[in-house]
Amino acid sequence: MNWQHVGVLVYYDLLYIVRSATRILFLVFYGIFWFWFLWKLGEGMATWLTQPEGNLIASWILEEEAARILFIERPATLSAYFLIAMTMVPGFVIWGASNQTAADIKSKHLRFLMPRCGRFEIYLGRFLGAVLFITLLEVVVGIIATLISLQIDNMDVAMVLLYALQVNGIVIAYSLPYVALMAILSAWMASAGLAVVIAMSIYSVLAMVIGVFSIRWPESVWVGYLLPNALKEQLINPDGSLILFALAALVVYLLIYFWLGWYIFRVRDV
Amino acid sequence: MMPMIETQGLSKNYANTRALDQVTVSLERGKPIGLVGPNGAGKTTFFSLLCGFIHPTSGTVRILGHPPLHRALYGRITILPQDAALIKTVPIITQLTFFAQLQGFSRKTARQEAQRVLECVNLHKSGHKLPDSLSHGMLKRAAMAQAFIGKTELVLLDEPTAGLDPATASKIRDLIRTTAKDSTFIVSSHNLSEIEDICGSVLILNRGKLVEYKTISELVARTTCLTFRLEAPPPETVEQTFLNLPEVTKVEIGAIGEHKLIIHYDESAGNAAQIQIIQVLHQAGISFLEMSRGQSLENKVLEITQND
Repeated sequence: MNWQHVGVLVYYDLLYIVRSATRILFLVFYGIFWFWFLWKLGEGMATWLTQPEGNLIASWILEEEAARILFIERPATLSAYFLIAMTMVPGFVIWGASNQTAADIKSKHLRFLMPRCGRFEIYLGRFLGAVLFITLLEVVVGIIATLISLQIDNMDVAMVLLYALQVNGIVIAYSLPYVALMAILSAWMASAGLAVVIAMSIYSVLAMVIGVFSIRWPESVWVGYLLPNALKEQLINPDGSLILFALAALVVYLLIYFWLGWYIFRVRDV
Repeated sequence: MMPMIETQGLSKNYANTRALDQVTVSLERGKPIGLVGPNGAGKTTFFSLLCGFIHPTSGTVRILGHPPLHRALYGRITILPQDAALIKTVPIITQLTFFAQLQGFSRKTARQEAQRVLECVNLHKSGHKLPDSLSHGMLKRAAMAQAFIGKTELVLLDEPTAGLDPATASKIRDLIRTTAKDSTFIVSSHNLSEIEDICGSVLILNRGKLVEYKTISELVARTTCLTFRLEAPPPETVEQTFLNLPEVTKVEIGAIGEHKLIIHYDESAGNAAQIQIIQVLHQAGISFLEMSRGQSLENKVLEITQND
């Protein structure tokens, strides 16, 4: 494999972002959402969760112990950002990383690239471009959330920064399998829009299966493990060993999805 | 010497359609090769298989001794694909620079190379424009420019002059002639006079099958026949008149309204046979508007594909 080719592909992929209408639209929605949410955090929205009544409500969603650790022992603003970021990751990544090889296949632009570099280099270059794009956005939002936390949460600076590293690391790690999932759908559907629709449908159907069918057949919760969001609870949980287990599982998701996407891209006619 | 392209039983099916059927051919380096055939003959499929865009249903391809997409081929082959699109929202020069970088140019030299190829296709003033703002002909030239980046050994051009005005088409043909000294070209086109003009040999596909691969001189029988475009329909006795000549082997009369006469003669008779034929034509009082040695490639291809 020629890494110089991959570097050139990634460089131009990122350069083309500002010229892609769909990515600009995505950036507008992403920007509006996080501007609004971070603005609310800046107004001290999360400090309410440190109060007994707020923490009680949080414990309805999370386990009581987890709610106490996240909002009382740890910087509440960063924890609130963490929970929302983890909830929004599937939706945002599905949209933001939908156009990896799709447009190249649809417009047959690949035919200009393939005599110059390998299929795997193109696939990897587009994948890394999407990873960098998503990571860059998450890092920017994560840094702003950390700055807000430093200003609002009455906690030791070193502790806030260390926790910020953990939070941002988990959010980025949780995003990667979704980028790989979109690599599969992008190569398969050859349409970014269709890839988003299919991904959202899979996500919704699985949520429905888990929510409805598990009442009658408890075993059906295992279907949820087709997507990495089954690991969300473990990633949010303050227990370090659970986090490590979930991170290792994310690597497995990433590798499987990435390989499946590569297989589809390799065998398909373009 | 290793063939430039070698295919063995190459076939490609699209669902129930056989687009390419058992094509076995070996193409050598040298003069441009024309790839011709009616619509749906399999020309674009053949190009796509050579470049590895699509996978063969059966058979093998070797290019410069390697299978398609082999790393040893990167930057040694370029193609003007028929239906591929440049990115609409990125200036032409940026896209060409990107392609040149993938071919191993540094960022700075890639930019210079992009400028050079834009000049080759007379598009240097429009390099900073977006593909969306270019006319069809300009877009075609921009796509053509990328095929001339670097020093490649094999250039595949799918319909290079389709949709271009005559002046631009002529410039493109000149560019092919000039570059053909260093690279081998395979040019697919429906414009057979263009193929006759720039190519040394021709590969004829029909309904997915390879029906002929010959030099153009051989194919149009330049040394064995004369073609006349007559002022008026030939007399009914014309065939017998010429067959009386010992050198004449066959006489063909064009369809009604075509006013065409093709006279085949024994190659060993050479120029003497040609003079004799012209004299007999004069004696018979048949006047002609145009005479050419051999048949036109267009007629020959039509004949081959219709009889196939």
